[in-house]
Amino acid sequence: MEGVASRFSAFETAEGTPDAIVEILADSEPAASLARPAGRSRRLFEEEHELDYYPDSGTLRLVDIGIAALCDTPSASVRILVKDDDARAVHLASHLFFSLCLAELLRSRGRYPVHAACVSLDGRAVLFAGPSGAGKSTLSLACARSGWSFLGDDVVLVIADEPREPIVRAFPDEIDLTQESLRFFPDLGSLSLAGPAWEKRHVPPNHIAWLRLASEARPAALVFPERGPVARLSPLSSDAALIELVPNVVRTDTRVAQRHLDTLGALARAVPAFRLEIDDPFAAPGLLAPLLEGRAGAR
Amino acid sequence: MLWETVRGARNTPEETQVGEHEPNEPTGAEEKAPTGTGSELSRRDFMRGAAAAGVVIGADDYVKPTLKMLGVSRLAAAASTPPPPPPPQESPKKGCTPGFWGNNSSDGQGGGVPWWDTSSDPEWAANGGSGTNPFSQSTLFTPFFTSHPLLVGVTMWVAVNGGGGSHPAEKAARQLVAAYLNASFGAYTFTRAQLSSMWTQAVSGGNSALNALSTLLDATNTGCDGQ
Amino acid sequence: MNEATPPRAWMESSVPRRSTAVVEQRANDSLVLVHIDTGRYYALEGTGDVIWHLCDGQSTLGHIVAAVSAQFGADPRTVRADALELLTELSREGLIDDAS
Repeated sequence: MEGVASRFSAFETAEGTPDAIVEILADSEPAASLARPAGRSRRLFEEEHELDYYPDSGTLRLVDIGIAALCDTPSASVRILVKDDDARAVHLASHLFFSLCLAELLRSRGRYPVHAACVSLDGRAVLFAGPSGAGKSTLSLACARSGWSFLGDDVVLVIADEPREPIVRAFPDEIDLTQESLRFFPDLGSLSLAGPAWEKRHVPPNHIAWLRLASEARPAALVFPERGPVARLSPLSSDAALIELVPNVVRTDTRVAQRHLDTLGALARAVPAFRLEIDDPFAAPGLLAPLLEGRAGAR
Repeated sequence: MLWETVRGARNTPEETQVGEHEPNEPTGAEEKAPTGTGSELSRRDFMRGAAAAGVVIGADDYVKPTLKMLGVSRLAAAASTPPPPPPPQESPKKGCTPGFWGNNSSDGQGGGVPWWDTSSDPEWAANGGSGTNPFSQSTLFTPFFTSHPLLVGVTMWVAVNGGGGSHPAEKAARQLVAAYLNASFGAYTFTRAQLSSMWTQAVSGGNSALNALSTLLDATNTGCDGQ
Repeated sequence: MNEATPPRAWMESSVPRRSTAVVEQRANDSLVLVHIDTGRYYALEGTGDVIWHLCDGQSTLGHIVAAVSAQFGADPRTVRADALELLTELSREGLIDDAS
């Protein structure tokens, strides 16, 4: 539970009836204790851990050594059983497994995760989208350092209930510190919480004094960063932007996947997209600020 | 109805117009679509349906249909942070100590020293090793493994013997070299890919992470046959 | 389905039908398809978009070819050959099957 509390310490809390319940319980035989749901299944992942979706019950089942989880989307309940003397399993319980279940519940409620860092200026957001290693996290920190508001460095939620314009909701999870981000922001090293050898260093965004959080913003630009010697922004068509975003669709419930894809399509149509070649992340704010002038959230 | 099917597709708001000119009439006798479903389909119905589907059609717009595969989507957004490496196998295989592969403080050189003192050392396989030795004693630690300032210019031989110091990086590197040799030799708790990855992450994690890695590998490099 | 469908012979009387395990999104110049079971995603271009939507599980191949030929003023033989090639690819990828 400490892991969960630490990860989500920057999220707003709310009162009232919860939308979902997540139980994390100690168990000596997690996989055996969490039986497979009835009906057919679809294997979504099977490298380090197994991830199966059961379309008949709308249930996600995740298993790894020392941990098993069942996410029942219709009842919005998650059960994670973990061998509490297994440090790696405990970490998975508060991190990857928790994330996968949370993402599934969010999708079922029309909040679609997009693998992107996001910062905003006066309520208008730039999403840095693309695969790991492209420098999204460092770019978002560089913009935040120069006064932009911060919504997340890895995943944000997009809501596109047409005919309304899409909006982006923050997902201020712990910021994972890469070697690159430590190089540009050495002060974060002293703030970070180190864990076991295999765990990246991370820092909750609300522990960073110069980081201002925003809870939501209107997307105004989609930016796909790449390393490049000369800072350059090149326009990208909405078709190309959509194609870059497609891998964000998670293949569980088909109707939810269609709505997820619809949301990505709405986002790609609503805002201009660019490739950003850059080497110095601190050049990003000056290069991107002009994109936010004028119309926001529309081509 | 064909055109109703076309109309069922999703619209792109800015792509609803039909081409400005009517498509050319086919030469020869007037043709109508044959009635596969028992109902007549007029060109106008088709155009209306296509327009509703956001498909722009004009007389010269027949373009060969193509299907382009773009990629395979995996668990993108939700699994954007890589998981930690898998834990030890159910029956973890312990490995030889750094002293076996290097200098053994009490008995001089360890028993495994002659098995990797050259590249593709024949004594490796002759003593039961799988494949060939992954590196030799003169191989440089960096760039075989991710660079750490204290391990630059250091050979595997120096590293497995502790590098002459007690810095967390040197202690971890000592265990790492032994572990990598163990993983290459036969069944071991971790794979070589896992070990490389664990080292890389420990380097970025700093001294506490390096100490943790050293402790972890020390627990699995506790001794083998021949020690 | 998780495996590609073996090649099938499409005939005039075949009735191609879009798989329910496919989600789609219209882009400006193409239609993007994602197969939920395999995770593969595709772009359909040219008249492929139109033919895809004519794979409604009710219209025969013959009907589709005739309709597309008439509306584009294209040689039916060309359209048939192209449509057959497309249907073969679509079924190999598990995106359509034959409802006949």
